[in-house]
Amino acid sequence: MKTVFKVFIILVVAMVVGGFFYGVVTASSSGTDETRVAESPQIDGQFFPPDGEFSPPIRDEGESGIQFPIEAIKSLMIIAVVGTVYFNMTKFFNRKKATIIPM
Amino acid sequence: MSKQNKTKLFLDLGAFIALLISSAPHFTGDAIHEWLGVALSGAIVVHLLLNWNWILQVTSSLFTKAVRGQRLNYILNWSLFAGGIMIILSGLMISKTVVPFFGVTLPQNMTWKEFHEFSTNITMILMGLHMALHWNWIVNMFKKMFASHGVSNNRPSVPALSMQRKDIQS
Repeated sequence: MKTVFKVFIILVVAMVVGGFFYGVVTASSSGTDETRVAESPQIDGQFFPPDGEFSPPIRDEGESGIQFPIEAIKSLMIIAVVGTVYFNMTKFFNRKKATIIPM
Repeated sequence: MSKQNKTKLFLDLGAFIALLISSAPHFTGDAIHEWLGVALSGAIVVHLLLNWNWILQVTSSLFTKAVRGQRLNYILNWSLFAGGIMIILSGLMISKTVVPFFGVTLPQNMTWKEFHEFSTNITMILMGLHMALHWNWIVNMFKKMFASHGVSNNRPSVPALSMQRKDIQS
């Protein structure tokens, strides 16, 4: 029961934070570039943008097969670089603090 | 090494690997990328439950001197939580597999895609800081784990050795 209550609190907080972001994004985009797919003209089961609107050709990324996980390596690099810089910086400043001789 | 620490370590390790795999949608394909993201949101909830006592302690005494060293960690963790929610929310808004699976059609909005990429990059930076702040804990846990494995591997070697000697004697 306690765990259910904790999960409930986490979900409520997540909903509040998510609701805030939803409000920010929808307000900033203000629905100008919003297109309901269901409302778009449909020919042979394919969706097309309304007249006068350009839409880039849709690439089905799944069809091109497995690609090199460059994004995962990019993420790992970001984490490693940021982590290493922060870790060594705090280590450096702590050492500097420790070397100060008290009067 | 306590059972809870072991659970925390393996959950975090699994979630980290899942995060890296999930961050490469061209490698995994959209379906795995999205379902893994949903599973990761569950892992976040479990991670928070396992660290619930720390969250309560720091929240209740945030403005006292007792938790001065934990304040940055606390703010960073909140930012990471917000980043995770940003990724999940924007991911669901541009979902091609998970949301349609439940029979829901959402309006197409390119802002969400940009928001998804932006929040992923921000969260990866925060993840780097989060890992750096807990690096000593991670290293200590691994050291303890391997040390305890070393002890448990040595223990049966004594009777095995004595058995061997008996064999030699006979």
